[in-house]
Amino acid sequence: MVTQASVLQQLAAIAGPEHAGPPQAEEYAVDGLPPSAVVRPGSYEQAAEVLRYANSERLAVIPRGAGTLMALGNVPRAYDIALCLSRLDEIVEHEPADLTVTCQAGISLGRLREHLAAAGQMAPLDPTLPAQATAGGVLAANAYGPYRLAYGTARDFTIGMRVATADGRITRAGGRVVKNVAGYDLCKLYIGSLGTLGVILEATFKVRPRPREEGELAFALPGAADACGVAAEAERRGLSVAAAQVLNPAAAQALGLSAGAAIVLVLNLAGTPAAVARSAREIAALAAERGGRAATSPPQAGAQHPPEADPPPAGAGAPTGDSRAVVGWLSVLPSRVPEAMAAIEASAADARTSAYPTAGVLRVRCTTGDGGETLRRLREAAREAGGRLVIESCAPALKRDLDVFGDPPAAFELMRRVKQQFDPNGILSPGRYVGRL
Amino acid sequence: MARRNLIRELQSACGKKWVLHAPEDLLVYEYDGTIERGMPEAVVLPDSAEQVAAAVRIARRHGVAVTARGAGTGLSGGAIPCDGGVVIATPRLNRILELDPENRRAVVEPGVVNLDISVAAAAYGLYYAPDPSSQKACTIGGNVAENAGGPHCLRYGATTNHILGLEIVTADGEIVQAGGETGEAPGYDLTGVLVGSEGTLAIITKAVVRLLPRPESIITLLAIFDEVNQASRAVSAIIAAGIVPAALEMMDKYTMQAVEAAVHAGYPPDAGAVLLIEVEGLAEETAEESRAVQEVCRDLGARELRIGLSPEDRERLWAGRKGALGALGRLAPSYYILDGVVPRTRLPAVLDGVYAACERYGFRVANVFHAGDGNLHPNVLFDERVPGATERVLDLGGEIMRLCVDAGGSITGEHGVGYEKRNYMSWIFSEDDMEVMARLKAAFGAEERLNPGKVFPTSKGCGEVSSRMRAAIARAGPDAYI
Amino acid sequence: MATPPPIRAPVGARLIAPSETDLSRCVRCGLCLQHCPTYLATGLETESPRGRLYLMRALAEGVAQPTANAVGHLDQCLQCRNCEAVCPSGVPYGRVMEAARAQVLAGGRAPLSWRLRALFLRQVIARPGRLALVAAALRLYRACGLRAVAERIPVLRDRVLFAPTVAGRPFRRTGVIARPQGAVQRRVALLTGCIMPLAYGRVHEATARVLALNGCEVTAPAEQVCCGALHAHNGDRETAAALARRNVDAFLAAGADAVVVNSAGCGAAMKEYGALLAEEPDYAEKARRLAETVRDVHEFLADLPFAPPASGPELTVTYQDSCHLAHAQGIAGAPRLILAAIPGLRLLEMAHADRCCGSAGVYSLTQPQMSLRLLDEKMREIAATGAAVIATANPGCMSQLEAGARRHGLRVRVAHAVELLDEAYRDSGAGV
Repeated sequence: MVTQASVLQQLAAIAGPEHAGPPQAEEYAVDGLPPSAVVRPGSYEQAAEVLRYANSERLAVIPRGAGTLMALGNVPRAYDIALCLSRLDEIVEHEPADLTVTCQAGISLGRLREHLAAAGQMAPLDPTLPAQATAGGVLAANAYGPYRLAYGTARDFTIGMRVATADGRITRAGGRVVKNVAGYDLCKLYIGSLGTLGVILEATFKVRPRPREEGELAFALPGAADACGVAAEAERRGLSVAAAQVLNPAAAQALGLSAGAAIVLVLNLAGTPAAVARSAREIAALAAERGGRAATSPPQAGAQHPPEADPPPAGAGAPTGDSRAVVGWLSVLPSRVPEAMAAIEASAADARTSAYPTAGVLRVRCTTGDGGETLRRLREAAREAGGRLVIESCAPALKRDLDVFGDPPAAFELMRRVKQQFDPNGILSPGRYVGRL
Repeated sequence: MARRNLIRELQSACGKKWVLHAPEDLLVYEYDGTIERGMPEAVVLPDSAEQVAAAVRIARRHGVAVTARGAGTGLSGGAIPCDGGVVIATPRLNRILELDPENRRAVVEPGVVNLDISVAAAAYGLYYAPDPSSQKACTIGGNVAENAGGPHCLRYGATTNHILGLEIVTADGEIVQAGGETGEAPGYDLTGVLVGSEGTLAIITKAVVRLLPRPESIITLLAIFDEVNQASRAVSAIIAAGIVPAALEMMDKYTMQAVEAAVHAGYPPDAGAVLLIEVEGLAEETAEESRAVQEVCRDLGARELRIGLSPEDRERLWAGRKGALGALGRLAPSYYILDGVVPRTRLPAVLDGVYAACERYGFRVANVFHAGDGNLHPNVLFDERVPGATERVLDLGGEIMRLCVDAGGSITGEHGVGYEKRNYMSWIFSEDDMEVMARLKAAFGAEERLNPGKVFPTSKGCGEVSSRMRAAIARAGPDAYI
Repeated sequence: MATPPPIRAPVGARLIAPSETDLSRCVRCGLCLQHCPTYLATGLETESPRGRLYLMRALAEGVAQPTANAVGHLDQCLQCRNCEAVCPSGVPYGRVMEAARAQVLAGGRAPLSWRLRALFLRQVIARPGRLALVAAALRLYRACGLRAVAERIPVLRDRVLFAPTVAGRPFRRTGVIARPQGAVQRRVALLTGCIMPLAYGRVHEATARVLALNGCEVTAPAEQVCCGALHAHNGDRETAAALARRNVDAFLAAGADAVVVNSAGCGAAMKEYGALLAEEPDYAEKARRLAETVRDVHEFLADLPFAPPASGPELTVTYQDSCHLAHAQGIAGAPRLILAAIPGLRLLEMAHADRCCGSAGVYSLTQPQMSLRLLDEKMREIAATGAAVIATANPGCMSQLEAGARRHGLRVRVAHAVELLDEAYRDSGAGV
């Protein structure tokens, strides 16, 4: 008979009594559901041992980093142990001349960035809350931001991982060299799997030299099509654009980019000084051709990361924010971004929308006071634009009636079989993933 | 009798004309670009995903394996049917179904030749970036299966970074869409694991590929060094200086000799090594980067630097590189091509080790490789007709792989594990690591039904079926002709 | 002719089976695949250069038997040698295929069609008198209007299409056939060949005028015979060698600075005389010496260099590479250089100009289906250029493209590139 006491006792035996205990605050709750125990392993072996134990006792485990992205996912079916990786926060290896870095999953991106910056390098991980988020968490949630335009998403620069399996074995996928096709590319599978296939312990990234020059431009344009057109043309010309965001008036206003009813295009430039200077000139001309004028620069101009179109989302276990707040991600073909933006406005009057035009991704923040009706309208809007809506965060109550990932994708049956093979006892983040896997 | 039925059923599914079963016809499907051999019992050339699915179901009913084949240019034996069975060849699935310049993507069938995508997209100023040296012949299906690389991987990544979605036929003969509708489909990244799965998880029947805009400016540099070691140190120095060129290739003396004979690319025959470096981007960037690269090369003792600015000059410099592998046929009757990877800082030391090992074994070696990625391609020259030579070459290959693994590298950077390297898998992966991979295979229901004998260590030898069939053909006996 | 050419003579063993060295050069890289017309048309490895090399190796090693199926794959090969031109490994594909065919023929298990073909080539093509009779029949066939009728009858249309066109005055002159107006700068001997003088005598006339205008005295040695290319291609190297010997004697006796050939297939064959007769003590050295003086007419003119014509008629022209010029001899620039030098002429490149039109010697007669398929594709690509003239460099290609134009109802003229140069000279008032 497994009791909370026996779980705690077991976890304390594995990680030490000071690193195992009952949840102290609500911060470990997921969608309002608190775990029975929290454990912070100090080594890969301890993490694996926790899983071995949980697997043998059929205890549900949800791994977590800093918790900044815990809102994503369906309501868990069960939640016994919060497996907190914050103590695994070291740089394992960094040879600057190899342009690779290996770090533990619990390291914050802030620390990783600092470390790499000292060598004039960067790992282009770009989630919503860059400083606090951990490497492992960002990978598990496949979080990205507008910098994906230039640098891609985690799947493009993660070259190796160590992962603890559901039955508590420490395994390796990929390697530490930049080019490697030995064996199946399991890194791809783990990225974005939301802790349902294994627990990421360590990752190796390709890094790149930091750009010598950076800059930021913002233009107010008559319509979303104009803004997307400028961004597309800039990319076609190969100008030094690292990130692009198209903001609707509400999002622009929230950033202090007051431009009336206009759409605002924010571009972050990176490259050599000469290339950045020329890019700025050409982009200004392109914007002018489409009736654009410079928008007031936001205060963070020149920062490495672009402005966020909204305040930090409510932490998963700490629903301190507005319980009606919703954050969603629409994915459509890039050519349909303007259409999707219009459809969002029509579905949610207070929506703050920030689109990554050339990727075909739109981030929406709005409120829903109508018991999920807005969500349904948004989802319908996404469908009409040929895409889908994934809800990153909303009130847990709303989640019970819908799958935050939308209808199961075409290959869902294969995904179900993957989950079944990797986690036959269903102990890893049960119910949280696509189709409530 | 069973084979007769198998062939009849395949014929009724795909058309009589498109099922090969005569021994002389099967014979030419026993090879690819490697030294491995394995002969199928039948070859089928389907014209649609439905026909592929039908062929897979028929093979399954008959309990024989299925191996997919594109142009057969692979360098790890990926298209060789180790267990006999049915080969599904894709040359007829060679349509570019959709070219969508606005969204910078194309939907293509697996038999489309890599370069043909770029040719078709050129009208829009777009191209498909991964450029394996065989790009004039190899197909996208094979590229996806092997996660093919190429010189420009250094900047743009390998095939996996350019595939947005796939349509596959599973081992059960079902057609499934994996990703590809929009940029971000929720759910496990099946596309990601299918790329590079070497035909062991599913058969690809469609691919959505990403297209890139052509860069405004491209400069190709040829840096000539007296010594290999100078060149490999220059590679590390360029990367360490924070310059990531679009391509950074190295060729050594033997390679240059063969290439010179083949295409008269203008490589100096007496040099120890050359670096072929390409920088791409805005004119301002390429000018600056090429200056910086030249400086590094000169500092490390480059005796001459040539610059190719015009498309013709650049093409000439590249022609030698792209034909290098084939040109090695001029130096020796056979070569064994290796595909190790090492961290870039270890390149000079490992390369020295490779030359030393080859000397110890008494084989000549021609190195032509993607230096910027640390992806080595030692080509060991030998004569397979000399008794015992093949075995000794394979031993040497193992030693070189060991050097790469010990340096923190990998046993394959872009060719795939395939058949001959599968027993090296345990050098870089534990039993547990491979057990997880096996679970993925189980999830796809593939077990040993798709491209058996590849990727994972087994004791069974490839080509056992082949030698049986060969003997039958030589006798022209009744079991060769159905 | 004083003595009839010996019909057959023994050749060295090397010539009747591909050598192991040649065969082992193929490393199966596959770079030939996308250049092979039959692979592109079928997608079958069995119809690819790589596949055929592997099969020929198996035949040579006795691993495979020359079954009808196996021999059929050799038969489907056009011998256009496009693969050879792009092979990084330098596989001498043309030589290997000729030797493999010779091996099959010598082995006594060759299909009847092969033996009949060899018989026809030996007894008709190599015999000017008999060939003239066939030509006369073809001339009558066209002149009396029977061809026009036959090509309109659906069941016959595809079958009769490839009967060669024989029209215009045959070329029968020998000895010195043209002299320059001024001083003689070069003395050249012209290969008149077997079919060319009967079917396209006008090309020889044009060639002679053009050469004379560029300071050459042109001789047509009376003792010359068919070059033997068709025989070699089809595995009858004995006849090919016998013809080669006679030509070596005839042309060396002419003592010219160069042997000029205006038929790509013949030029390629004569350039390979040295290899063909390499094992014959009496002829090896002579053959090699002669082969070194052989020049394709375009190559020769470009090297002179020829005088650019002062004017020319307004023309749109597309150039079809003759395979044995572009691939076997590696000459693709010279004909284009000549065409580009003609004022008023606009050269419109077709897609895949260097891909075989399907003529390929006797291929259109032995493999009409594949030949038609390649021809149809070719005519589509030609039509897309909108050119009024198709220029090419070999009589077989001319005949094939003429047939294609008739079949597709395309109003284009087919001409040898040298004919166009000749016309431009005449247009500019230059005369001999």
